[in-house]
Amino acid sequence: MRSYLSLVPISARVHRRQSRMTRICIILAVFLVTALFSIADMWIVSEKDAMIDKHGNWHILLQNVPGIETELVDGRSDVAVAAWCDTINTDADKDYYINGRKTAIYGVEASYIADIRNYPIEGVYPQNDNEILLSEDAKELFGIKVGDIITLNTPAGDFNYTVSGFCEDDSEFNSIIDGCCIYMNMVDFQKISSLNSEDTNPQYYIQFTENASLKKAIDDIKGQYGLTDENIDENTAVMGLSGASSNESAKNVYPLVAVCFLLILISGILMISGCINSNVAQRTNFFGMMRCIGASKQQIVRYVRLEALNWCITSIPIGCLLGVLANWLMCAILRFLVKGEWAYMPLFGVSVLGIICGVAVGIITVFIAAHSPAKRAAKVSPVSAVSGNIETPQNVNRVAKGRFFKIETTLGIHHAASTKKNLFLVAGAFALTIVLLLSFSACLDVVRCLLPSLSDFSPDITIASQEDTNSIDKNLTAEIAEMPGVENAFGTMYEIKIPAEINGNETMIDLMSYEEFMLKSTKKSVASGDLSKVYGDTNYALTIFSQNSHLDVGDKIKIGDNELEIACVASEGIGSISGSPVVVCSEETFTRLTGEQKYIMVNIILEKDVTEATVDEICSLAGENSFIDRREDDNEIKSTYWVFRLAVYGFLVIISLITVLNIMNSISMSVSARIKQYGAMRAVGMESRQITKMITAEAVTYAICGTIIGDVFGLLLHYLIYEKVLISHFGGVWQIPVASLMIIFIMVFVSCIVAVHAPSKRIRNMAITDTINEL
Amino acid sequence: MDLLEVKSISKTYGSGETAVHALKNVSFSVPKGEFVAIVGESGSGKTTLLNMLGALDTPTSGKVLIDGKDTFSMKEKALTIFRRRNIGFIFQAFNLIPELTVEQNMIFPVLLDYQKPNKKYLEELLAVLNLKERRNHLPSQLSGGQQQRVAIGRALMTRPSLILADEPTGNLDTQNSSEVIALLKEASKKYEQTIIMITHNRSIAQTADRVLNVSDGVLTDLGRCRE
Repeated sequence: MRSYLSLVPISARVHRRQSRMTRICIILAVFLVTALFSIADMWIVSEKDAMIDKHGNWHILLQNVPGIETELVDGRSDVAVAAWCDTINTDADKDYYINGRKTAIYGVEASYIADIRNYPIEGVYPQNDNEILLSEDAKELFGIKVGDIITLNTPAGDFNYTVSGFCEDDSEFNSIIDGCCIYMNMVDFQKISSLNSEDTNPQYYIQFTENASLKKAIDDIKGQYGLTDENIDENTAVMGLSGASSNESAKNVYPLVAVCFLLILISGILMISGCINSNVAQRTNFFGMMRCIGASKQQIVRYVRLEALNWCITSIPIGCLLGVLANWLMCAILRFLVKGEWAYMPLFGVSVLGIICGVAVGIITVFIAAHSPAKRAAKVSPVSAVSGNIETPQNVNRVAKGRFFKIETTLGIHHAASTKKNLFLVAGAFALTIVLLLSFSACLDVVRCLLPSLSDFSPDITIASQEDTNSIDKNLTAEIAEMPGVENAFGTMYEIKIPAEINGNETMIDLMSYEEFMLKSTKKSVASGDLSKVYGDTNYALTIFSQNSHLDVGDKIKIGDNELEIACVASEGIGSISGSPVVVCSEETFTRLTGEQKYIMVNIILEKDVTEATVDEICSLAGENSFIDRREDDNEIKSTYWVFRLAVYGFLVIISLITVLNIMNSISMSVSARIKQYGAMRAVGMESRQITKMITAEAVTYAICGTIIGDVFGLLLHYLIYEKVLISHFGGVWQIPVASLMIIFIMVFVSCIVAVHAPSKRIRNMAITDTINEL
Repeated sequence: MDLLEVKSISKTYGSGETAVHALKNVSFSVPKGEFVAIVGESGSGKTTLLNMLGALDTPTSGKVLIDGKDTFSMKEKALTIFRRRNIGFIFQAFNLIPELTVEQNMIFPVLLDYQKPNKKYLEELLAVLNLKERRNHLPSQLSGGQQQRVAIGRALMTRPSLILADEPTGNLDTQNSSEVIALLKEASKKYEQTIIMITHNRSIAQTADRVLNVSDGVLTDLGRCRE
């Protein structure tokens, strides 16, 4: 033992159990930050991979630069790869064909395929003249293999080439042009180009090295060759993710993560500070003794701080490890279950940034969190070592009253209520977390509304009239609905901007029809009024809430000679096309009002196991009308919603944990302050069961007061957020958030049980004489 | 020369009708190397007096001079260092650090002063306290008497000029009590230390050089016992 601080690790080894809660808090904070930053980091890596996949792995390209000495550019130390690429017929509007299919022609250097586009190749890049690479799709399309000879028809004549290989290029592009691409060396390309008198625009793609300073390198090249901005094109998607482009969108994730970091930091400080405070309160006697035998206040502060930092030694690595594991799990979930834009998430990536941030949050929180308890410990008077805890309230002026309860319950309530300041602080802690939870749940609803709607009638496929007229036959819906793999098909009639009078004022409205299925689905989003009146041929209609047009229940709308009354307001539905108020009525009413019999569009909801053949059949049924397949977009919306829900539940768990820990610490502290009293009570005959009851009564008093205050303020805030943000933008009505309240009650209940358990166990396990000796 | 001089200290808790006068105008002095016992009924003000002497508590009025230095005029930091170097405390409840061995407990105050423990002196103390074979034991492995001997060792380790003991034998049986008192006396003689001890036990008080009685906050000198 070399210094008084050597006591810290010795003591920590012996008292592992006592510091367990604090260590859990540290692990939690480190875990959250490591996981969060790692996932963000992995997301950026995946986004970069996705961007490279989509746009190519290059930073800039030079164009319109005849005579530039590209060897010099290629020779720069900060340039990793540079390659020429030139194209003919990428718009597929000229007569270049292979076997009658449209063909885009690329003249490229080998590194363009291998390093800039990263296209996997079967076979080799053209080694000799008259050799070409073909799109992978061409293999099936033309039934050819490596070594076969194909003929390229050009306006200037036909050319024969040997296929040296196939590369997996952009199959989406190939399907758009309904053909394929061929890749040849620059010499062959120039031959074709000049024979066909094509005016091409060769581009020189440059990929810089990992560590290159991109901005500086670009400026250098500009200056050296006298290039203007027009000569240089940036691959903003890739540059943005390298943090070099002025393109800001990729950086948006960082502020979001920083906010989360800050939130975790603050809640971590609160949690850990509470834990250390409670730990210190239990050891008043020890600190008093330290002061007595000569420890200065500064030394006590140092002692408590070091003790806290000592917990980090084991907690931070555990937190980091858990964070990395959680990151792997999340990446796997996103990659294999959510898919969509997350399919590029790396599987076993370790984010150095995530770990560094985790370690930083661990040390920073502990250091800040230990500050106030350390000061508190330093304030302990040395007298407390001689004469026990002198910080207990000495002057009790009020008598414990209790006609209704047994003595232990009465005493418990009295303990909670006797010191107003304490009651205020502990009940405040309860209330604060409840307010936090309720306002958070309101914010959640706002975010949910901001996401693209996932309502029951979001279609997978839409068939829309080409001329935006009601021209699709009603039988089509019935026909499609009958097909296997189709869950539902429904049509809508629409009249855009028709003149009408709303309560006597002349204006324009958008009138549309909902068929039965849509009306049924609208039931969930009814904000006010009675939807049932709208069914059938009636004089009632419903309206979809929008911020610009406030139609309300009871409003009268006159269209021609007919008058409609608004019976119901829905918060969700097909919105207005022209910006005018939307009036929705049943098909029967619509036909009576307008005479229209046909649909403007037909929406189709598919079952999960639908075959592509069915989709193709629907496509052919659409005929001249536009056929819009939304399945991919919907998947992306769904995956975003999934990720959003994961994040939201993650945060809810954190807030709940903070609540529980906060309550536990508050009660533990309160018990610590009265430990001698409890000892004395046991000495005069109070049973352990009664002690537990007394502490429970105290905890329940705090909980009830806190819950009442918290609920009042929380609901007020919830209402305000709803009123000011949600209702004014999305419509609907405020309702008491019963689910959230139930969660709160359960949480408070659970925390009371947990909070009472530890201190009452502590008292039960303590010899009566021990507590008496502290007197 | 007097090591300790107490000049008319008073201590009052509360005010008005509920005021409690714990100490009333107490004055006395103790020369270097003297072993003084303070006796008195419960609640008479003994512990309050001892807290004043150890500068743990401040008096309402009066002065305490230790080695000629006014402890209450010192700033917090200076007072801590002064207390660390000049005053040793022995408590009724021992107050040892349970996680540390006998030896570590004893050298702890020296470490707080950022000094290296004097090994020779430590060995000597362990021998005097008869704890040599127990040096690596934890407090929980010792008897009450042994624990109190460790506490005495801890108080002696910094060679303070003044040792304040609040009922050091309160938790001990007769045999252990007399051993502890004998040790304290031996130490006081050997290292020329002044010891002020609170005790309820009249026969233990009789073994001191001088006995002071506190009754209702008033101190009376009962005189010397051993001439």
